[in-house]
Amino acid sequence: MTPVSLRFTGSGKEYFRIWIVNILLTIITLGIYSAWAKVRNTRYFYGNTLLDNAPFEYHASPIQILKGRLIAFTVLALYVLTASYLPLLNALLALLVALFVPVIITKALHFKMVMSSYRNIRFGFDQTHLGAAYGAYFFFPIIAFLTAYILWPWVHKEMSKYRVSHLFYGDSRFQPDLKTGRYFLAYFLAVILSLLLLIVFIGIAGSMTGALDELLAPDGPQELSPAMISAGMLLLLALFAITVLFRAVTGAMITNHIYDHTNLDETVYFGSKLKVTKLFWIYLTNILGIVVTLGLFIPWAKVRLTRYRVESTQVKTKEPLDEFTAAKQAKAKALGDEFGDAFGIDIMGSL
Amino acid sequence: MKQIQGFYYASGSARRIPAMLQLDSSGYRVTSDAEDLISGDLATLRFSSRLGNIPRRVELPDGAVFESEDNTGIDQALEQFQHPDEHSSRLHRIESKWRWVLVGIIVIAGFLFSVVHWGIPAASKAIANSLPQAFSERLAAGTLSTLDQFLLEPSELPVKMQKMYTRKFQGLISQIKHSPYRYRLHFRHMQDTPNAFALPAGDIVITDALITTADSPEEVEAVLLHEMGHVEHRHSLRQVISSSIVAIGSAYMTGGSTVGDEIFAGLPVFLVQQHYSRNSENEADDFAFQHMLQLGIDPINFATIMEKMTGAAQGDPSGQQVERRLGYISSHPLSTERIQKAREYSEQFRAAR
Repeated sequence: MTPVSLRFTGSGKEYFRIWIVNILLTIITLGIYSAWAKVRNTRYFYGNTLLDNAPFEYHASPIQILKGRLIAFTVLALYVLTASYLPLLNALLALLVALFVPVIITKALHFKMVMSSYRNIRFGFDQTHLGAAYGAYFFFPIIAFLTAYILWPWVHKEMSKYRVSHLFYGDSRFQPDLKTGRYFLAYFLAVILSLLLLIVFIGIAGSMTGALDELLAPDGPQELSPAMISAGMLLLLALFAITVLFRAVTGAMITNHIYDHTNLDETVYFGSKLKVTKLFWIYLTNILGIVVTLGLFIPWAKVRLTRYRVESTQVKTKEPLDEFTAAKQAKAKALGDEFGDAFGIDIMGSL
Repeated sequence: MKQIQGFYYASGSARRIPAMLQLDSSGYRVTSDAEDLISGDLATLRFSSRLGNIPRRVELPDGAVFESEDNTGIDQALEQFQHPDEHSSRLHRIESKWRWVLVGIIVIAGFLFSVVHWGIPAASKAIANSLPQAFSERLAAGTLSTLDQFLLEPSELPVKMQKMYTRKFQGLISQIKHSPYRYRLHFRHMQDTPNAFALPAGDIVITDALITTADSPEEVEAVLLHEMGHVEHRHSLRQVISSSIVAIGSAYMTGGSTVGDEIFAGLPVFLVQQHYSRNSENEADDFAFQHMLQLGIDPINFATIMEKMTGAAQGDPSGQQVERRLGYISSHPLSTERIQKAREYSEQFRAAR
């Protein structure tokens, strides 16, 4: 098998200017330009990802995105506005959105893939297996809930499997062979490491003259002292660091596993060498940079993370990539993708 | 004639063929190793817009694609031959200039500041005032009975005392002209916490500890007027509206973020909410001060009760230090500042006598 080069050529400095102009024009046009901004953002990251020196390309039309966005945000506005006044209608809306999450994710993946291409061949997503989508994104999570989330790693595996096994490049299919054990291992290690970090933080905070005990006393502190505030801040910082660590561990291990065990039509094989420590460091410094610069660091943060992800990915092929051919494409609408954005639904998962 | 180096993909094929695109005023021709692949009318080509230095994509009418990194060459050719896509580099030119970036940062910062500082408060005030009174009542429906269930206990004050304060309260209400609210005073026991709060429909709850902390009925009246200020200004309704605007707006602006900053997305929203909350407290204070002047109650009573409630009177320096440190995350303004303001109103009150 021949290794194929994969690199990312984007730069924070260049993307910063694109990002600022995107926000500027979005403000001037009262939000309408945000659809064009989304296309430009995506094109920048696709176009700078070069596999075998050829770029990925994004083809979505801004008008399509704008239409989807307007509908999705009208529903979000309804949801937010009914929260205080019409709790029954609000709960109904929440239930409706929850019921449609598998459809939203399927439609969003279909849209994202159909709008993506490499070497003039579009990607695709088989959106006809809604039964599998409802398993992975509706019924299995309920089962996980009933087991106090002990079975969550298995649900996560089913979600990855759904996303990858229905993926196409042209008329060639991606074939994942995912192991549930790896997901349990990833979550197990994440929990252990998070607990260790928590113990360290509690040790530091606890040494602060019992301030923490008083702060967390059942009937609340009698009055706030500076020591208690420092202890409280430290506790918040700990929670934040633990969240990031948890994401770095599960993210790196699961992404590596998915890439290592997926091939395209038994011709192209993938691999991923993300390191937990490096990913944790990038997440942590990115967030720190964003907070310190009041958001101005966001473009550099995105570029850094993307560069690390792309450069940790490996591609090997049995035959030259020339032989892939296009498939007939179903029409795609942006609505699902925009619903995902509006309601913060995680479409791509750990990929 | 213009020559562009790049790659050619036939329709539906991933085969990457090194090729050259030749353009002149009338047509185009794609050649590979001096062999003609395809040619046609220049106007039928579609050029992708320029973005950073990512390769340009030229769509041919039959579904084939020509791909080139020679962005500059393509821009020159488009301009020279006046192709319909000759403006496909316009955005790129703006995005390349640090000058525009600077303009962008200033406009964005100014916009965000104006929206947060004036736009949202003004909008939520206008919306809150245009909504019928029923909205406020709906917001509070069931709140008091829920609080009674979980937090509050019946008052232990003598009935005589309750009646006295209810009479005082009626006196205050009669002084507010054209008030559409149905004010009711509720006495409750809540551990030993001196506290008072208002529900949007006009229900005002006052705890036993507040009344026992007060040294005079005027001090209680000062607190009641502050709470009535919240009701008259429809602060609860305005808070619901402003938090809805902030929630929808920030979701629209930050939608689809993947940097790992989602965890922190809530922080600015929280700080903005606390800012609005402090503004509401100041407005309610002003309402109380002005009505105290009209009713002939010395605003010093507000200062003295505040001092007793916060322990500021005992000159507790660490308490003030904590308050100052929490300035931006606190829901209430610094109590020392509020007390200072009450004293200023009091001087005005005494000068007028």
